[in-house]
Amino acid sequence: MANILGIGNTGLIAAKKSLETTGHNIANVNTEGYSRQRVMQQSNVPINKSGLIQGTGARVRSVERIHDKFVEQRLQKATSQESYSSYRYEEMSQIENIFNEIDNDGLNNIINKFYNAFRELSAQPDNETMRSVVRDTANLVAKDFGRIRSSLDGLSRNIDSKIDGEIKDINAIAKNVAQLNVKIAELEAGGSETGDLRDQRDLAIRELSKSFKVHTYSDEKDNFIVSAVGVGTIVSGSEHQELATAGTALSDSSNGMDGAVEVFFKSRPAHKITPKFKSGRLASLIRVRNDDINKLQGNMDNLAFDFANSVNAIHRRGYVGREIQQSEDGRTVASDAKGPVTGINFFKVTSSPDGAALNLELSDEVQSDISNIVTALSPNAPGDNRISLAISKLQHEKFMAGGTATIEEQFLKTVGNVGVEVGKAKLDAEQNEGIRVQIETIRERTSGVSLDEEAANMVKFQHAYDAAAKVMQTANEMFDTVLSIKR
Amino acid sequence: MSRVSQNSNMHAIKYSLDKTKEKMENLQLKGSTLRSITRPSDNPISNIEALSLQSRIKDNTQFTRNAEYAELHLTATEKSIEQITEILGKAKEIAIAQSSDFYDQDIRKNVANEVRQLRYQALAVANKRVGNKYLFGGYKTLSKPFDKDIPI
Repeated sequence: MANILGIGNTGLIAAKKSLETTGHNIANVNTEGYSRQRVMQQSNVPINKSGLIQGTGARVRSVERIHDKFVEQRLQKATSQESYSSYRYEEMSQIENIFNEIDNDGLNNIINKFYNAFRELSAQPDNETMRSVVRDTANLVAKDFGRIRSSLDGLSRNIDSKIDGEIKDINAIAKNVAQLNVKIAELEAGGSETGDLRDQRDLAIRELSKSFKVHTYSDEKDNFIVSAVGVGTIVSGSEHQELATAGTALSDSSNGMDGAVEVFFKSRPAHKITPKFKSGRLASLIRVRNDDINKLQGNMDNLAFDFANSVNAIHRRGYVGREIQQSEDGRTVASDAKGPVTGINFFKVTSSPDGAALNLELSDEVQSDISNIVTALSPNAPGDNRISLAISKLQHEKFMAGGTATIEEQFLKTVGNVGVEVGKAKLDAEQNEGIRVQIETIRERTSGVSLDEEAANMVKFQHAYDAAAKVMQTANEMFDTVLSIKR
Repeated sequence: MSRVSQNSNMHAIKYSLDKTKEKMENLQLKGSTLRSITRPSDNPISNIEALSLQSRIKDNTQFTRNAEYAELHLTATEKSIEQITEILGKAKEIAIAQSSDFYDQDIRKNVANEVRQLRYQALAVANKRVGNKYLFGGYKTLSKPFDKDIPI
């Protein structure tokens, strides 16, 4: 009879444990990253009693989480991919905004105005008003080149600070994972698994996957290792390796900007790992900064450089639009009270294309005196429009990209490239989001809590509990019966 | 039939809702701007074409303006030349009429006066201006091309 009581007791304990676990599942139905848990119970060790082998009730072996580690790995990978492409899309559309001139005046429109101002001037070269219009329009062109270039620079700097923040987050998460590793090792020393902490760790790793492509495994000593693919180990058991950032000098930076933020291991500051990250936000930010923005900055600089030089080359050949003194033998003087009378640059000359778009401005001569805007090829000829006509014709001259494109074509090619890249990034972002959602759905299907299922389980376990209690009650009554024999 | 949990439901529904809302937003943007392209990535090629066409339109507007301006000048030039032709014709008639000794001195004096007047007229036409520009000064549009004091 003691057996009956004992067996009833094991059933009671098992059913209670199951009910507790059900309750735990229900409580965590909306906990992010939670995997449902299940009581693993088996029959107790049978005993041999006077030749009869019989069971001794149930035994709770462990509480396990329902988890598919391959799905988890796929989810990590998909998370990296998704955050890579969605971040790329986000950054690229900011670049796109700089080049968007559908609703407002952009560089293409303003360059067009510039050439048309020269055309207007060529119709009335002796009209002072036209000259000041030309100067104002030219100032607009310079300003817009500057706007585009400095906006690009701004985006680049913005990404620098984003990388900074990203590295801080990564360090915090890596520390958290290392701490979880310690706790998990402590709790699991007894041999059974802790689902809750492992869930938390998986969640942290997934968070880390958003920043870069993560690879995880357990080494032979059962240390949990987290590494960034292409970079190195970030967490090893209870230890974590901190990443750090620092601004670098122009000569060392990977995107040609002074003070660009580079990433390295704190322990090895000389060894830059910025371009090594695969996938995830970091790789996305770095690619946009080092490739996309860098290329556009170069394109704009070249555009501004060639534009200014082509205008200058023609402008230098003419004579200023004011009365020029002549010496006795009929030759014109080289310069008068207002400076030289020919060979004047329209835009300020820069020695190399580097930063040309940023620094484009009118030459001091033109800025200070509009009579220095040259229209005439011959001196003392206010009606001579040959220079301004020639400058206006530059609009359709293929002097860009090795003589294959006009300035407009070259600029529109750049805009077109940005548009195509953004379109591609958007497509990638949508597709990768779809893939991530799909895998997350698969994960939720296996690991997620279903309230209906839990409710059914609750009924089932409660009945088991009731029945087990009944067994014990029966044992109790049997004791009573035995005890009452004596009376 | 695979297992369905609370969150797997949620994920699927939220994803489709997001997708639909995004499409809606896009359509509303198109409706409110009345443009099928609002940013280069909507259609990179059309965007470039649109920009390039805008330039062409502005160029042509400018060409039209310049052509109108040139037409004004040409009309004035043609008119002046017509006048000169007329004056020269008159001078020629006078020259022919005076080629005999039929007229006496007084009449010749009058005729000489008339010729002088014709010359002044011709000078005035040759120094004609449109706005502040002399028509017949070549590139030196701001200085008077012909001087009445130069003797014949």
